[in-house]
Amino acid sequence: MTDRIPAARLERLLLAAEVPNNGNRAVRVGELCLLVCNADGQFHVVENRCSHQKSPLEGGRIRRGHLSCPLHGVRFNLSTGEPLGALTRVPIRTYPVQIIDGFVAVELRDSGARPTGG
Amino acid sequence: MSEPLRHPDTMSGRDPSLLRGDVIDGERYYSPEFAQREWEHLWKRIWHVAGRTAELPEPGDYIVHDFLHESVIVIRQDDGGLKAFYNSCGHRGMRLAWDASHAADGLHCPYHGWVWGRDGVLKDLPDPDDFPQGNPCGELSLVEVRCDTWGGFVWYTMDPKAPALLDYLDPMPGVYANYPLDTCVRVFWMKVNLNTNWKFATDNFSESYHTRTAHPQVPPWIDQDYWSSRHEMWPNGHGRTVQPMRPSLRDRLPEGEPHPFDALLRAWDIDPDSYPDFETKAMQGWLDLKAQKRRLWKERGYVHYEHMDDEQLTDSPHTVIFPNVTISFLPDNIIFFRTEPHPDDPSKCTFDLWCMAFPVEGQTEVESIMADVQPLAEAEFQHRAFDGGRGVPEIAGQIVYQDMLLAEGQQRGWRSQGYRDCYLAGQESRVRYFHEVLNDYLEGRR
Repeated sequence: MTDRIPAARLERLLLAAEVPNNGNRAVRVGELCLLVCNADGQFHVVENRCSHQKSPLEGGRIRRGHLSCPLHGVRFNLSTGEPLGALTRVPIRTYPVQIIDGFVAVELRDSGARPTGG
Repeated sequence: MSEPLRHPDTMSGRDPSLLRGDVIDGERYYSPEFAQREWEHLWKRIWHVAGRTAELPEPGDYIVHDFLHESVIVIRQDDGGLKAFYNSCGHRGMRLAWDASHAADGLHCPYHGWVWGRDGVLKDLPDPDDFPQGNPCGELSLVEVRCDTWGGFVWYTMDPKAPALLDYLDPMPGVYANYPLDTCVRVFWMKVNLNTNWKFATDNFSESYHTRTAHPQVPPWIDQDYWSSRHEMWPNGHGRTVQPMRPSLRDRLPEGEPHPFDALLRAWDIDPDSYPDFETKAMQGWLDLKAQKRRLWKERGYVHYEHMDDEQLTDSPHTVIFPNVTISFLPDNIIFFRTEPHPDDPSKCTFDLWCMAFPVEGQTEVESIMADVQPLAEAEFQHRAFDGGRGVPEIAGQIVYQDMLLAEGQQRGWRSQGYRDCYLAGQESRVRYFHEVLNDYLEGRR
């Protein structure tokens, strides 16, 4: 008997052009809440939930590759998900990003759902 | 050749007859009681550096400065100004912010959810009607701290009666008015834990007598002869040593070894081989360098030279701002050094090293002076333990690293029964002056 490994699939989240420089937009994929971030032209996708007090990260300011939680200001490295400072040591989840035909896409292994927009 | 500014209050920093002769005892470097007196009578009264103005470009941006057990938030206001507050919620005293970040709609307390506006006024809270003494919304404010800016630095003082920042810093704002300090880019930013009292650094930076021994790479680059240096000190406790950035005539590199001064001359299109001998190259080359920089700065994009005088174009004024900040004002770099005491152990401190550079159009990387070549971009903060040097490989072998290597040995020597007082050279007079000004604070004379 072998474990069933869900097939990986590329999920197109939104057009890269829809996310302004140093801005972000939330996208829901099934039960996943993702945040697409544009850090000086570099796109990152992270979970849209702060590891400190579970507040959405959408709208947080991005500067020099770090996203600030709008609630208590915890800053997360968008490449690694690692937090700076003392409020939390728990990283947020990050997803490898590809740009396909102008879309920001991530590889997901869960089943079925389609992005529903922010 | 333009003359450097001489402030009328300038005293010789090489004249011990200007000193009272206070003993620099060992206890002041390790006694918890002495450290407590410093907190009460010095640290609560002076101006502290919270950060760089470049950290606060937009309304809502804030920085946090922890000092001993105190903490202060400085936040950019909607009108572009700055306000500073003690980092303690007006509800139950919870610390509000931990690190520099951005307050989107205010400072949210992580405990009960009180929200303080950027202006420090309480703007929201859960269950506002459940306060028999009255709804505090719009009524309560965070406790404000005085803050101001100079030199691209954000300063604050906990003393409502402290002199204005520019008066406290006097005469530095005038002496360094020619430098566009707020344009500097901090290309290297590190805090290092050291096993020594904070005063180690002020003592160390108040004299250059140790340079030939501790920093043997420096004399071929910056003249270390005390008779060609200018040692200055001022009534507020500040002081500086101004040294020509040219080779010391009594320190020669072995024949054939590449000379850093030759490279500097070549960088400004001066042929080092055009001088008949080493002495002429050092002395005339240094004058030629001033003239050449004066001729070429504009076309090369060295816009920060525009208002500098001839001394500032080529020399090194190493400046201590009382009590714990040292700034090297180099022609192309500003190096900020600061020690701050450990909250509980006076035998420990943190050492801040900020290497800043004046941006030149077209440059993508710069010589940071203390941390090799760095990208010309604002650096991220790093906090390390020195760990005998193993914790800071980025600065290994640099001048400041060599100073840090001395720190623990100095601390241990101060605790020895064999240490009674310093026996100072004339060129070290500012070391004792620093302690005399410190004593003035602690003993109520200032």
